[in-house]
Amino acid sequence: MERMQQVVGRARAAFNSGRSRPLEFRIQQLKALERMVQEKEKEILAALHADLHKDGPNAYSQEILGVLTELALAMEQLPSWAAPQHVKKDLLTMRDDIFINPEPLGVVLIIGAWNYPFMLVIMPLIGAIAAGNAVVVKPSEVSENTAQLVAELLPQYLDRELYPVVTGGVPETTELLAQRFDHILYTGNTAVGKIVMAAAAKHLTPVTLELGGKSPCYIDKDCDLAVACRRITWGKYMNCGQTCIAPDYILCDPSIQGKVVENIKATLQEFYGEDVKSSPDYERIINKRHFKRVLGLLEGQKIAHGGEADEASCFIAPTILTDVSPESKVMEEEIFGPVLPIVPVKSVEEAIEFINRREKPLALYVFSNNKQVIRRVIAETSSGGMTGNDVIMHSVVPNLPFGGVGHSGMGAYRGKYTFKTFSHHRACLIKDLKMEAVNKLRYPPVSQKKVDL
Amino acid sequence: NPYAGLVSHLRASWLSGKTRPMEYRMAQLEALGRFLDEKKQEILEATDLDMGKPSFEAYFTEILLCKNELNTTLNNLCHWMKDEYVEKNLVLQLDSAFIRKDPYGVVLIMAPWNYPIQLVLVPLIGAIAAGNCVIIKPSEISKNTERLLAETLSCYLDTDCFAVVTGGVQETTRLLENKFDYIFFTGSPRVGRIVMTAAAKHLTPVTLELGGKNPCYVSDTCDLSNVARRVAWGRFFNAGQTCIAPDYLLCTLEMQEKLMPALREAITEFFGSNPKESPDFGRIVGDKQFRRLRALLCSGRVAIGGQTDEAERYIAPTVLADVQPSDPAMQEEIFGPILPIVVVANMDEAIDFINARPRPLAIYAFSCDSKVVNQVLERTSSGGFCGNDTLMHFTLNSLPFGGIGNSGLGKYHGKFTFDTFSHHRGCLHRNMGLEALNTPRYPPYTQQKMGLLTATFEVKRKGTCTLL
Repeated sequence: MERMQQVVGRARAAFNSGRSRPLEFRIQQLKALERMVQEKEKEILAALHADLHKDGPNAYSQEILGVLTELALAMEQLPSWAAPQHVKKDLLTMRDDIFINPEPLGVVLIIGAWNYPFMLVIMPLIGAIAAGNAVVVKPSEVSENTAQLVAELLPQYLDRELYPVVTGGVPETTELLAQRFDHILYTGNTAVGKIVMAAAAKHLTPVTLELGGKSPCYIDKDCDLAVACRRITWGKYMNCGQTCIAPDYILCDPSIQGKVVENIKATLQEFYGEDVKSSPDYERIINKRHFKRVLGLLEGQKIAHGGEADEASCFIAPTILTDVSPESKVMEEEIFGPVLPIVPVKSVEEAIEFINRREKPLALYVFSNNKQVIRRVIAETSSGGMTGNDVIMHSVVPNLPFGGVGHSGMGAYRGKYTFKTFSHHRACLIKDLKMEAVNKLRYPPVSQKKVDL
Repeated sequence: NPYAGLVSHLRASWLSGKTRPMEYRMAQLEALGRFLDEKKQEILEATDLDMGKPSFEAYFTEILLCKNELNTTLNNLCHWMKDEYVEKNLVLQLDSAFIRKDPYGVVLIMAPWNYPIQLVLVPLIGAIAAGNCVIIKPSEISKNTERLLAETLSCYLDTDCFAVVTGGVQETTRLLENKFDYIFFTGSPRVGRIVMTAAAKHLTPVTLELGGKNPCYVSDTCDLSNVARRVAWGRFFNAGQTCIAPDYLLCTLEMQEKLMPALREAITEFFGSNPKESPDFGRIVGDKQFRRLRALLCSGRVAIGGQTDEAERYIAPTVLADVQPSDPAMQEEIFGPILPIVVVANMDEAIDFINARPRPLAIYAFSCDSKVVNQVLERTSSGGFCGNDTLMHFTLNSLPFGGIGNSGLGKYHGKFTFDTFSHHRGCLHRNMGLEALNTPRYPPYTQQKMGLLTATFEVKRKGTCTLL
């Protein structure tokens, strides 16, 4: 389609003009982005509410706070991130200038997801702008109100040619992926991740894929169950379970299963009150298709708590399943909903084995008073990231890279890692045209003396 | 799937955890060191048979550079493997936040024929150091080296964890059907695309070290004989079969005239009056490549060299003058001892010429005026850059080595190889106590909680940026 080619072509021409390279320009754009987030806070929160029934303080802390923090960090650190990095020299290069030069890649593409629809396009955008690139932004069409808003707002605050927003569904995205980009950052599911990488391969475009999977949560017998369950409840049911790093399922000893359920139930009451449906702090499933999908996972399961649903409002109550079989449907795919299966295991060895038999997850959680248990789980498993004795929180540490491994993704971003992801680190060696004597050692003809030297 | 058994055997070894302890990795790396020492003669012989590689070059690139990488790795492995602790925000002050370097698992290294030992060993060193199991696929084109690796590496490395696979296109295609946890490929952009497409099916991350045409700009203000020597050295090393060789020269007509005698003198100084008899000049690796190169000689006019001998696969160190952008020598990466000179009016035209083409693995600029060198650096993009010399940025393992765009993605050498083959896992180990600190984040949400949350989470601007 003409349109995609034109948009990307314009972005490339704008990049080639060189105007996105000076640090002053980049900071000016980041400041404008910051103004946009501050001035249009109400509109952004309204869009998030319309898409996901996310309410004010919740939406703010989930999607706006993180963005503002990232903007402040980028503007603060940009001069140091963008500065040439001098490296260790050796005897032969003592008099030379040797450094790694961070440079923009060119025109990059950011494809967002619908679950944190504002944050998942704006966060990477910050680093991509900071690195001096032109950026094509493609928000998820599933969260249509936020997509619409981003498409309206970005051109009002940012350079229109350098940072265009493209909207649309599968056909538009497919056409977009046929264009040549210098990096693609995609957030979404594994199946589409493969499609994005295959499209990127045609142009030898590097990719960062932020995918998903089933993030396991192991609860050791030796732990403060009340605290553990409160933290797990918070991470599992926020955004109605639609979080890529939500604890997907629990692994614990059958003897504590009952207590785990009791503690989670108590916490749910504390968080959402007697009638969850009327709590302003509890979200909804994004659309009917996902609603049906998640509800379908309850079939044949032992529902220890919850299970109520209302299709009209895409409401599914916070649900807990017990004695779940590893072969059941709910243990096959990433749940991405407010359903928490508990799979009994007899020991930490069994838990580790269980985890390692499956695809590497985006996040991994382990709760224990015993540091050795936590260290062991970290050492004997692999995952994108992990948190011990809490959930989600590793994703808010500003200096930890955030990304997956194996089926949960490749590459990482956040903070300086976003800047690095969207930069080319060019190795530079600048020598003197004089001092040729030293070079003579390496030239032919060769005598044994030279070899020994 | 003929390789399924091998891959699952290595995967079982991987899952057993035996490659993880530092002692194991060090022991395997020390064994590689012994391979380089004990098989030095065999390496020199094999590379001589494969492409007439002069023993000085073979020693320098196939042995010395590998030993440097090995020693850098052995000296620093303990440090590289350590968890990297990071700065935290207020709310996490009592917790432990660090980056853990996890091995990927079973990785595949595919190497080309031009530096057949180095381009296997240097990535292999990093892959082992990072704790992975490795399948090595050397190039079938450098058959003697392929045989050497296939027969001897197993005597040095643990065969449960490290295997060499031989074969041609068919075998490689079947090999790529398997799931690997990382693929490291050095070769052409065309095959790079095939490798990345195969990797996409399994969501396997890749590093692709590819190639392109590396431009070499020579300004009017320069020391003629030094430039000539440095350029000739870089171009004719390994008979031009080097991914970072200066592929073509850009200079003014005046400079072309001045450079020619200087280049002639450098070539004679290096290889004598008949390079065919010099033990320091290599040969083309195969008949196919020889014929391809010979066809490029009809570009511009042959100003130096041009002689060929098919029986020996010998192409003389050649300089072509007045080459046009439309000539055969300017259509593909040369990868042979032929240096075309394309005349440009000035530096701006040279920069435009470079920027109109796919981004190369390396760009070279020669000038006594450092402003000129900096201009070329700033106004172009390439994997790496070297001012006033050729190839040398490759030898410093504190610099990352890799391409951009068509010349590749990812980087390695030194610590960068270790990092390439490790998954950097973000880890946060929290305290089970002090639950009160978490209260601001829990529902029911209130404005007051929001205030507290903001205060503990946000990163404040320290001051106005001095640039504005």
